[in-house]
Amino acid sequence: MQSIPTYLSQRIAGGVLPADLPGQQHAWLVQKREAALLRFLNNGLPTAQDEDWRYTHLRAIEKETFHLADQSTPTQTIEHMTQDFCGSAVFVDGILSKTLSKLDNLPAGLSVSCVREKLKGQQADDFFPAMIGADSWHDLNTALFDDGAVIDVAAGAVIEKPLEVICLSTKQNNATAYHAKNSIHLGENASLKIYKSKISNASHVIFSTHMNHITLQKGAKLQRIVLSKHADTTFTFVHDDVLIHEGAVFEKTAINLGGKIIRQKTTMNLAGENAYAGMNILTHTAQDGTTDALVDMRHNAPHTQSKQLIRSLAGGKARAVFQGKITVAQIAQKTDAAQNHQGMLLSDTAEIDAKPTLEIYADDVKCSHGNTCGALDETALFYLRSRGIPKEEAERLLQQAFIAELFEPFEESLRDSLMQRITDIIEKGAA
Amino acid sequence: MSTPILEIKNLHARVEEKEILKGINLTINEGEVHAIMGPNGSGKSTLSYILAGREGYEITAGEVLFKGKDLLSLAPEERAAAGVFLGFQYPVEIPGVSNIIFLKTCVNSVRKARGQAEYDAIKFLRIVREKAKTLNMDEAMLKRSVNVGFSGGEKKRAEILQMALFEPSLAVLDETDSGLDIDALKVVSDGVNALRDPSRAMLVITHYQRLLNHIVPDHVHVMAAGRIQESGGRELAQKLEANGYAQYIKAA
Repeated sequence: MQSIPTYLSQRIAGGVLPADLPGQQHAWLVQKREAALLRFLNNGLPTAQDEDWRYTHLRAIEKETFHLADQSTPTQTIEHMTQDFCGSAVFVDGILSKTLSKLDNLPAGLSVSCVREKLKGQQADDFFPAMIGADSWHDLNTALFDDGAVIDVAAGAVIEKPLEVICLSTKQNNATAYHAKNSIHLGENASLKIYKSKISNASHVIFSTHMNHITLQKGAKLQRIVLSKHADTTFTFVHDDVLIHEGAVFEKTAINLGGKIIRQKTTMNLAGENAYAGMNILTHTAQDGTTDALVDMRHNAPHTQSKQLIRSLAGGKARAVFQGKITVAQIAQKTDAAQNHQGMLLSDTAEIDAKPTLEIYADDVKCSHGNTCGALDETALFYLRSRGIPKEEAERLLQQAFIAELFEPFEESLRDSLMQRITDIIEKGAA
Repeated sequence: MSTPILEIKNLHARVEEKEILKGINLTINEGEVHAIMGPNGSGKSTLSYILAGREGYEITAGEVLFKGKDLLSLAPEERAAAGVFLGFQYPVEIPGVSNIIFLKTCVNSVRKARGQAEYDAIKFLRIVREKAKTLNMDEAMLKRSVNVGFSGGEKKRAEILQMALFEPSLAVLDETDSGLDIDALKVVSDGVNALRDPSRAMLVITHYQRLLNHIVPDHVHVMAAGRIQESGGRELAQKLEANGYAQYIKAA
């Protein structure tokens, strides 16, 4: 068994839940947390023997010492992905900040709250359904979650302007740990855009888990952009579990830059006819970290469609992992599923591992997957240099070209600002 | 006396263990247009790549001077800034980079290196549109990715557009006629001829005499087996068209 970080063994010493967790007055929650803790202690962290963890090794996490986040005032300045948003939820070390958030004038039909708020008082329902592919990280998160966003869009509400979610970390000497449980629910024919950014300074050492429960009712539409700039000492484990009902459209673009171990797992259940899931992922690591993207796409209804575009860049001694599985159930005839992963090695010592898997039980489907891995195209590099573009700039241009397809669906201004920000972060490590 | 732009002296080069260039000597002066003709595998393209600075070639002997200074020690981008332009036989496709961004980055990189003011977006667009028009280029091409989905003729017109924007002192055109139909050949040749200038030198590399009816050279050289086998005036091209390269291959 992989041993757990010291912070954890102290926090759950003797197999007892800490007293400072929110919602202790609810028996169902305490029971749920205790059961999860027991499972976690029995199973421990995953090891290389687990099929899903063959390429990502967790040894580095043992060496770090983490402490509880202190929620002091963040020193970071907030950079907005867009200036025109309908509301802004700011989380500091995983806890919603009432002073920094702007949630007073949300459009009708949109409600944004937090887990702590929902758990206040004597009455609270269990608003976290079971997750597909729940693993040890899920158990740990359930046992220890501190807070999280609770976003709900009423049936028929079409929210035009994006909702902004910003995650900040306080600057402190100690490494911090937090666990977030988020839930997003869109009622029938509701529509929402969420632009989330999670920016860490270089000095932050963070250990965090994020469990995101996302449900789209019939005909709902959710567009989610998540831009994460991780410090090189960050350990983050994310699991998005998405339930997509009939005719609903889920589109996510995840950008993961830097980090020590960044695990982004997505399980998707296309549960109703004509449901659509679009998943674009960009990972970039150039030091000695690992970014690991796992997509488990399940077509469980006829005429469902999914499209995945993944671009991994790895430099230095970094490792990028992509594991993508498409499962088409017998009932899911006329499924149209596409998966395309391209890796770019930026150094001789970097490594990219890709494991695409298809499991098809229906006989009238269209499934495609493509996978490439290589270095920068030398011929293209020479062509650009022969036109006077200095080597570094030519390399940057080719890297931008490599990832450009991910952002094609966006309107020009958003595409340009995202690209600019990604380039700045990659080059200067700036937020 | 005219000033030499390019002086190639006893140039030997190899790729891995294979010797490709076996002692090239060639001087091109200001205002002159030279043509190098030769069979496939004679080393013509290798010479053009070496002039532009592509990696992978080992220079084993000789030197190349550009305006009297050592060319071979410069990086490709430094050569471009100094005034060397290579028109590619197979222009490279770069998906995801739009032509207009590419052109602006190139031209401003070169202008910056030359100590000239960089163009702003509006002024640059005006200049590009003007030049594109003279080459019968569809403006929509400017928005498309570099060379992606371009026909052979469009690719070569894009090369000539770049050359026109760069205003090089030395233009090396590698098999510019390949992949062109008669109409495209005429447009491209007119584009090249418009850039003939008393201060500019050109080296036109071609397999066929056809191109030289449109871009009429001052000097013609026959290259085979890594050497220049014969040099002469424009009449040499006609002689080659009639007799082929057989005698040179045999002699080599």
